[in-house]
Amino acid sequence: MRTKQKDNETRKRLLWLGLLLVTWMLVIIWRLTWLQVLRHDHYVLEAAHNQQRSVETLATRGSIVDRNGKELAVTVITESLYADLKEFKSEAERQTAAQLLAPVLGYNEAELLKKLTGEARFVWLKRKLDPDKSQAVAEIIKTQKLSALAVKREPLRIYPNEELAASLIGFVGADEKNDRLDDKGLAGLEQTQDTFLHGKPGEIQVAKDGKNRPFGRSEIPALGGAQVVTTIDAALQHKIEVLLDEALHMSKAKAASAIVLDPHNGEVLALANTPGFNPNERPKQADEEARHNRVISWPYEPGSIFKIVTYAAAFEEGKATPTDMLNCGNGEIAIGKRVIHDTHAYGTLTVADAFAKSSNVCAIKLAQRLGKETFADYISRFGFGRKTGIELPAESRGIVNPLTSWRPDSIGSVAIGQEISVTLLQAAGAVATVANRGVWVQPHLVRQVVAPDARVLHEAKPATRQVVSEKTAQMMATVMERVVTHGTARHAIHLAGYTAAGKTGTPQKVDPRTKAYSQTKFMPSFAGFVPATDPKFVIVVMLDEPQGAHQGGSVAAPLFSMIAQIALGDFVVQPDTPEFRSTLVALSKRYETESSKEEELANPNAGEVMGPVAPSAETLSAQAKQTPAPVANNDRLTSSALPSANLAQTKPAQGKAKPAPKPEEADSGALAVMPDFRGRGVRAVMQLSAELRLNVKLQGTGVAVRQTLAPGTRFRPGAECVVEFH
Amino acid sequence: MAEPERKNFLQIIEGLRWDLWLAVTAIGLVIFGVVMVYSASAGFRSPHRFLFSQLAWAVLGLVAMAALQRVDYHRYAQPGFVYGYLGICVMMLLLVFLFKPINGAHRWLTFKGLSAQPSELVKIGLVLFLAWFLSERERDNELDSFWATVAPASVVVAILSVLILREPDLGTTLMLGVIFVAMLYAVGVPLKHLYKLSPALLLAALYLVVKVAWRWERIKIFWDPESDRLGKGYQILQSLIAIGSGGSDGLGFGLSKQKLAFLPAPQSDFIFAVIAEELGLLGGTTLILVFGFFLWRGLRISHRAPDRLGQLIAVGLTTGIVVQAFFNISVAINLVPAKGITLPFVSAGGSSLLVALAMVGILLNVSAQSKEQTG
Repeated sequence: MRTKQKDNETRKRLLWLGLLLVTWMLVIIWRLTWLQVLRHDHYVLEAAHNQQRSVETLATRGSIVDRNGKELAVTVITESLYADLKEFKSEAERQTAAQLLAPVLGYNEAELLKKLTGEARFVWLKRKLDPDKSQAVAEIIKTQKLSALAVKREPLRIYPNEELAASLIGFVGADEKNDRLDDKGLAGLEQTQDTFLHGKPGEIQVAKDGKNRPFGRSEIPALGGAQVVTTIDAALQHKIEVLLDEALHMSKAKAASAIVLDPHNGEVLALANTPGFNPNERPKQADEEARHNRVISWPYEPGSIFKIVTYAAAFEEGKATPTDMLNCGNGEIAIGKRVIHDTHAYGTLTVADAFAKSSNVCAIKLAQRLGKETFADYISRFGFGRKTGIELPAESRGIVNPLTSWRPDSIGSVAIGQEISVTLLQAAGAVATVANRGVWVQPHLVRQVVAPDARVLHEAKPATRQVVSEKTAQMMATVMERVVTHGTARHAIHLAGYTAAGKTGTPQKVDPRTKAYSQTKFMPSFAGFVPATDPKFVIVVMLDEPQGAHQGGSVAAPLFSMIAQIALGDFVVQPDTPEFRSTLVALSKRYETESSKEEELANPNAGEVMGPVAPSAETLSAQAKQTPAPVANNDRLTSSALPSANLAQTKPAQGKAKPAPKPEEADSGALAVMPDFRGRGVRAVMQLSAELRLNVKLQGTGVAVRQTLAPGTRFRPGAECVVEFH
Repeated sequence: MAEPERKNFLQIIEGLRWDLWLAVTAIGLVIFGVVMVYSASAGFRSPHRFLFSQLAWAVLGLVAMAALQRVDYHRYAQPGFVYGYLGICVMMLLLVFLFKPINGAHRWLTFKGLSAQPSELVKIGLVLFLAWFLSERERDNELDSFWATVAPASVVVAILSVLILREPDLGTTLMLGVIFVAMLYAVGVPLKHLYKLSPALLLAALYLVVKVAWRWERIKIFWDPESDRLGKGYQILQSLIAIGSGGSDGLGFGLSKQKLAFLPAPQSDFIFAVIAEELGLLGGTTLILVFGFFLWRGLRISHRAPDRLGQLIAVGLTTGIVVQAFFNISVAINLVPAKGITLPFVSAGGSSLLVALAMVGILLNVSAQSKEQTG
């Protein structure tokens, strides 16, 4: 009986014991499920973090180049020095390191020793070392066996031309998120094209064990960034910058800006702001003013330049033609509560003359004929009050007041470019519309973006818009040409062999204190295009507060003239003035007959200048006087641009419209000197070759990189030369 | 009386005098252990060393198991044997202090490259002593007397515990305590006597945990292993990463990455982490259930034992093995603070494997004498 009871008691206790342990077992299984199923993903990450060491490999940022492939911004790999302070074996080692490295790194010894003292495992000593310094540092580390010091490869963005085009290229800074240097665009194209320029960093993954011993490795290669090909011509840009600097210096203006645009495709060939800045010195936020791109971010009251819009609208609406007579009211007109004056009191003028002499009264009268709704419509169609969409950050849309807030006299103000603010780029766009048969083309800076594997990631597709008819554009071109021939810019623009058209502007600045127009602060400007008969360039120039002379015609127009001359030469544009053509024809006839005699005379000192030019020495020297001195002296970018500038005037072959000479005939012709084609486009090479009677064979497309006849060699007309493009 | 029936394989095993299932479980675990030890020690400079030594100890252990299975367990139940055995244990526990410590602990007796932990032998000694002592008390009807039963037993346990604690080897000490309590409970000592022990145990535990600094650190790390990722939390974190990254079906046999110098002692104390990483939740759970099965067979043997002595021996040995297994696994998954303790049958470790198999041998002898009984 007692055993039975005891047995039951034992049985019960064994059961409880088992139950307790089974409960424990279930808790274990639950915990295991939690770890292996619910928290699995977390631990997979932990394991990867644990078992792999991944090293990021650098991806080089894409370069920015000009239209001819000249580098404007490139990334090079530099070395940065850091220290693992726990690795120092002794105090003496610290001191040796400080003593030896201080002079190389540009620290004083105590300063460096302080940096080297402590327990930190990672301390930057100097980032982005110069190549010669990094070699010296490597030498010291090696000879002294300083295991605490090491270098890390880091990218450095270099702007090889320093200030050149800085306001549009922009600059880069460190990406604070990942401590990656020089791969974050902070201004200009660097900023807007950042996604293209960025490379994709690669990664080397090293499998390691718990003691950090590696046993396997895999690599994802880094992908370099894409190259941004701009529409800029670096040589032209440089010459314009030099010119603007000179102008700034002489006029004591606060700033000067210029833009050169191809009116037919909207390509910005040059865009200069001076004073500029050196992007290699990575401007701080405080230098906002200096790195401001005035051309696109800085709206100003355009003044008389805006009359282009007023007149174009009037022509298009049939409210006037250039030959109509208009009463200029003796230089005075009352509109609303305001009386507006002309600088000279004119009586009755043709519309063309009214434009050329920049009569305010006539412009206002035309605007009144249009009515404010129609006028406002044209303002908008010409692109004012909206962004052009150029590839630059912080573009201003300008200030165009809505019709509802116009006062009765506003139509008069706007007609002469007051009560409205525009950017220089918008103004250039409007002038380009006139130059391009009434079609507005979106100005742009990026021609294409090319990936490292040569895939084209982006190609410029500028928007276009018919603003006025071709006929209106033609009428505008004539009245604008009259500004140069008979109007406000008649003394200022002298182009050898080319016609020009444009409009002056001398807006007064609004004094921020009195809110009234200042009588001493002006922003003279000139907007126009060349050649007038077949426009190739739209050029807009502006000076901010020049001292002394301040009229657009006397200050800005000469700048326009010089820029035009340079651009026409650089791009080998055919001269269009009738006088120039006839001179050339006459000269070439003389050359035909005397060529055999001239041969020896022409060539000895020809240098880079082509042979056939020799007889036109008078023309050359005449032009040399007009060519601004600073350009000739400061041409540090390219010298190959010069000969072709001169060559522009040597058009005898085409001027005669005579069939090309046969090879046999050519053999008897004069020897010519081979030009340097490298860096030029297909079209320029063909044009040049035609002029030189060179039998050129073209291979590939893009920019010339190689030519079978070396530059400077002499050849007979009809000689064959293969030019490779890339 | 019963018509002749054709017995199938399972019925043959059921009909055996001794518990073949238990033997199969133990041998299976040992084979599994040899394989896993081989895998877990792959990261060592001589990857075959642990395999060969484990194989050697396994063979030795199986021989011991087979031998002890044939020794009638009643022969242990005499004062001369149990006291003699315990005496030798105490001597060896004192002897370890003469050897130079390994990893800061005097746990091993080393002789010509062979090493053994006497504390493992103590486990068997304690079980046999308590089984003999308690069944004697019961025969004298003195189980209800605290001073005649619980108190003297406690003194023996306390002496052994203090010695092992001095090594220091808290894990094994804890196992002794668990075996002691389990056997007292199973024999039917009034619960109030057990309660009387609890304040003393609690005080001792508190003293050990709080006073000895590094143990307190371990407790803190137990709550939050990430508080010191590279320091004191490192080991347990490595174990959790191994287990967690294994997922439901594991990385595959032999493919553990954490065994490569991340896990501390991947072939012994943390072999479960390697198993869970390579074989996943599936493999880990199966292993745990196998120990659960072992528990059932062990308690079944205890229940069917012909007398109180056999019953107590079976309870003591079974709980000793299973609790140690669960404890080891609980450490790996951070259910309890980290202690150095092996996974029976599976972990590399000579004396631990030998002793575990010896315990199975004794259990098998008990099972061989079981009375015909159902349930």
